[in-house]
Amino acid sequence: MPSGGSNQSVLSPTVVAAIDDLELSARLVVEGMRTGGNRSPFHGYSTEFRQHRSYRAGDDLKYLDWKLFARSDRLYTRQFRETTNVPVMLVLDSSASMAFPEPDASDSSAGARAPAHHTVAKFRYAQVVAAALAYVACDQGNAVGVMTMEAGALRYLPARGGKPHLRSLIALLDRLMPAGRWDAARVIDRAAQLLGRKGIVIVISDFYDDEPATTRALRRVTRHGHDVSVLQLLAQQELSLGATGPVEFVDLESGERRLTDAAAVAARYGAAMREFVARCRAEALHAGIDYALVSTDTPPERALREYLQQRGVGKVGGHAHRPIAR
Amino acid sequence: MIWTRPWALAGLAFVALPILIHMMGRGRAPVLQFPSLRFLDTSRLLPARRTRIHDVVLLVVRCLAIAGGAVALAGPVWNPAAPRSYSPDEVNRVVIVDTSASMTRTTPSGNTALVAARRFADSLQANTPLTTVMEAAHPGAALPGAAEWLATQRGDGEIDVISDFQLGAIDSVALAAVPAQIGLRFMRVPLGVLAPPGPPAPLARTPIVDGVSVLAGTADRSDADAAREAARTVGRLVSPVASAAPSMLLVHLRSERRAALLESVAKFTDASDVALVARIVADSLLAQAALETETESAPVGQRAGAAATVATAKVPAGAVVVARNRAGAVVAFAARISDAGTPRLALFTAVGAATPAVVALHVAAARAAAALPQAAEFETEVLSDAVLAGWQRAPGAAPSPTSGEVSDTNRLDTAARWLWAAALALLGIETWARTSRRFANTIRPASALGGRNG
Repeated sequence: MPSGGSNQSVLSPTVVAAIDDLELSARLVVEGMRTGGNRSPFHGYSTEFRQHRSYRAGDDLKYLDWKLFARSDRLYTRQFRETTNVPVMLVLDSSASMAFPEPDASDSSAGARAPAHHTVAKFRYAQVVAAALAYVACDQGNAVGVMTMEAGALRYLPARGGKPHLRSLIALLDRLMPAGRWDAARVIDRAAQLLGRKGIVIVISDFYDDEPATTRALRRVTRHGHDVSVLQLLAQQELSLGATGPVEFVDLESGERRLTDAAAVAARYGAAMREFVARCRAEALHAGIDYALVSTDTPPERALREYLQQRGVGKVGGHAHRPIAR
Repeated sequence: MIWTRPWALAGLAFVALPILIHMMGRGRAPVLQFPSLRFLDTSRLLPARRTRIHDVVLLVVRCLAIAGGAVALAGPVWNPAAPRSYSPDEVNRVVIVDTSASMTRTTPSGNTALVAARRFADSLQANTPLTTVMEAAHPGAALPGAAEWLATQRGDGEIDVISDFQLGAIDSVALAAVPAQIGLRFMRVPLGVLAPPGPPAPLARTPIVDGVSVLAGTADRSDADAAREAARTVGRLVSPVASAAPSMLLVHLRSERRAALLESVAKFTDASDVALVARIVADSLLAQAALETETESAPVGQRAGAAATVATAKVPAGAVVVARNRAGAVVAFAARISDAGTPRLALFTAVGAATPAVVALHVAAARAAAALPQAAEFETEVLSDAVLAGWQRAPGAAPSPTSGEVSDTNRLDTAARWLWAAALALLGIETWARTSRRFANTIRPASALGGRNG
């Protein structure tokens, strides 16, 4: 399938993130994706052909069999097996680590009243991505839900279809604030349980959590037949340390403070981060899970487009992904 | 530039305090909120150079704020009023000549002190065109009048006092009435050694020569004689020596020569006459008697030939009223007249001869004309040269703060006010600089180094 007329994003991440209306942001992202002519990855209709019938006024023209018309000069509509909506559950990491980086309020080059021109918090980015995915799924007739954790308690909306439910879902996403820790394994397991029948689970997180437990949970969900995708969301500022001199780092989740010479530890930190990312990818691929590393400085529509393209061709990172089992 | 509180300049030493703090401080490490510390190793911090000064700009602002406050507290005065130099020819001057009785004493040169003083005053007037000479038996009492006259003149003013400066001639109370911008000079007349007088006889037992000649008309002759006898009795007056000429003339209301004498009235030019008149005015017996005198409202001359006990007598120009009654009507006045070509001092009554006021007038005139000076005039204590030197000042000195004009105190307040404003402004800049550096201490994230998928 064509990759789209333009791979250049019109809206930067900061501009999209600065839009207060999350639904509008999601719609803009989705529109940006559609200009690329992306195929829906969520398979709103079964691909199994059933039969032809004569064309009746009002039939969707995209189901006309033009080849048959060319042969017979008569219009026939293709009929498929009954449509099957694949439920989609979005799992969103709302821990405090997702609040990084804080918008740069003291950026003198941008002006005192300008919004964060150069930094977007991971959580805001995640909100936009999740809303855009929900928009796409709902638009294609899929049921979509969300599972997250707030103040130590699970917050979720079950997978439903329809525009009103979509608005409720986006409103829930918009109200969330990153804080505290999250139990990734518990949230992922619960999300899969809520799906009921086999569906798609998309986890959006930085995965600064219990790696073994999270890996086990993801594998468990996969074994249950769900189509699992992980979007590891990281900021460039945490992939490499740019600071020099003594810096007092404060852990956003635990509050732990560590005074260190940033220049002295930068090399080791960078290597450790690369190992961490590689480890996450390897674990995901080993478990047959779609993996994508998303940087917050990448325009959301570009990131989603590439992710969906890779998902659509069934290849992620050079490995064929396991098709959804029914 | 002068300092009103120079001790406050010691506060400049506190400028060293921020310097020491900046040098000793390591500089606080910026704080960075980070998603996870799991990949961050601890490392030994490099020791900061203790001699390095952190935040030079902030240090300079702090030092300037402290220095500005210390200087403002010291109260600098810019361009204080410098002593002015003046030329004697440009100064309005009043010369007060002391004509008290003590000035009748002789100087080593043989002249009386009064003569010497007048000569000196004349020389001052000759050499400086803006000089006015006035004579007064009590120089201290003449100071306010002289100051008032100088206030009406343009330019600087000075009062020169020529006297023997007996104790009490001038005191600080009298000088306080002279504005500070008017100069003062005191010139002492040297006197010979005065033989200590014998114990003065009480005035009450000392007979006074009746040196008053009486002019009365036919109609009031008997009353005039009666009044004279009463005056001699009351005042213990004695008849003058036949050869001695009476110094004063007492002219009654109905004297035939009154009108002619009134037409010869001239201004007083003799200081001794002024002194005599002043003594008569100051006579308490005369003043009391005059207050109780009743007068009729009929003007003089309207009833020809009638006994007029007037009045509201018309006082000619140049004459001096010596007594009034309670209603303010003139009871008697003194004038300088020409009696057959001879200038004399005359006292004109404005009431009938047979009144207590006329009797008191006679007594007062006799006492004033008496040759015996008052005992107090022979006060041997004089004001020292050091005291006079302390009172002297040049004309055009700084105005007194009590005058309400702008003084150096106000000017220095203005100068200190600006310095305080500058110190407060620097304090505000320091606060802004300190808080802005707190934001600047936030680590700015580095730019992207690698691709999205590593």
